Amino acid sequence: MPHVDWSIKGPELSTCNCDWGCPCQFNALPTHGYCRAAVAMQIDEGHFGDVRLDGLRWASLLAWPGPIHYGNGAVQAIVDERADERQRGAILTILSGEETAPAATIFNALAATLTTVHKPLFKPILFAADIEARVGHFSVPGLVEARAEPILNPVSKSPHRARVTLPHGFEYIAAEYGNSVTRTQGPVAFDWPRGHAHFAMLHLTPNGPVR
Amino acid sequence: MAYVDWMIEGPKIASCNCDYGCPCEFNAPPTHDVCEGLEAMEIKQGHFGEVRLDGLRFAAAYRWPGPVHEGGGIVQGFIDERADANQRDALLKIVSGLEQEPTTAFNIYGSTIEKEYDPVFTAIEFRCDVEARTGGLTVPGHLQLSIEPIRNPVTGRPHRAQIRLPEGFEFREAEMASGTFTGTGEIRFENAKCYAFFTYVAYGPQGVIDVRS
Repeated sequence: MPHVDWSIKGPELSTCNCDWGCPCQFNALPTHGYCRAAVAMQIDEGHFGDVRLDGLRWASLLAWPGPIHYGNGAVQAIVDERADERQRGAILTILSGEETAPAATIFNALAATLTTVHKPLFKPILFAADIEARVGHFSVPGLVEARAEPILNPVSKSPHRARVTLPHGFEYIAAEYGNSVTRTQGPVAFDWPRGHAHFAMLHLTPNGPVR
Repeated sequence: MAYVDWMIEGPKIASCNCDYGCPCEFNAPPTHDVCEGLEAMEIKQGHFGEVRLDGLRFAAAYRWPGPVHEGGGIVQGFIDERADANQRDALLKIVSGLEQEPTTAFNIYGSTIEKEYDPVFTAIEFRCDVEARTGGLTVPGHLQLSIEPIRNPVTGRPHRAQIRLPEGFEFREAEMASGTFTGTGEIRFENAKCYAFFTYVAYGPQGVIDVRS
């Protein structure tokens, strides 16, 4: 089935409650048995049909009672308040996994695992990510504060550099891994003082990541 | 300090009882607290001073009661029975961390070991197909390892993942896989479908040497 032609390209910062190196990235079970995640992206360059999405940001707060693929998850999507009506609709369509080949994007793959979809919110989103330095943060007033930094070696205390490549991934092809400190409020509330983070330059389309 | 000029290069396989992707690669604590496993390398080309080491294999079995860096480990080494006296001596020096910096993989792991069983000179069967992510190891009477691709729990399809550690002391890039192994000698264990990797590495007195397979 032909889909609307769309593309979003830009830095993503993803944080979750798993320990460093998130086992789910390797198809193992989550560190603590359940998954909580706060994710944000800045679209440097993007379009949905003839709607430009350049410069807009989105964030998602997600919670599942067990491993993601067991389902019963909840999500709160947040779209940049600077987006106009058509841009809001376009970003929400992409985030809900529509106009996408089956399982081609992380949004499409996760959609079937989300049973509670809270009404999307339109808010100012602060976002900064330096993928190379593994430093970044994003925040939405009253909803989420997340920051990420390099993992430190427990013995030498020096920054630990680790890059994971998933050649057939549905989110990223390559990501730098780090440490996250995240706190959320609202309908999907959680926090952790030490968790997984990954920094990636995403480039997603209806057929998944551009390889 | 001047060391003997040596280098070993070739494919290496390893498996431990952690989950796929082993948290230790990211400096997190091991999945099940205790850390136990095995590894083996086939030297495609190598030398120790004048002694050629091409084609020889070595392996090790180990266990730590907690995270590796907290120490208290036990280890046993296995050296290819095809090695002559000079080659055996050279391989034992390398795996014992002699003639190299304190920051090499052999010395970093070595510094966490409390008890070392006598090395065994034995036949070592080594199988490694990185592209297919299949392989394994047999040390008769001691070790048995079988490696296969990780599979997606929903689709059943092979899951391909690589970890790159640009400053890694054991490997720079490894292909992730699923290992099932037993230890039936002095160090005993039995683990199924857990962390395994394939890598291609070269080591010398200063540690990892960047090479392309």
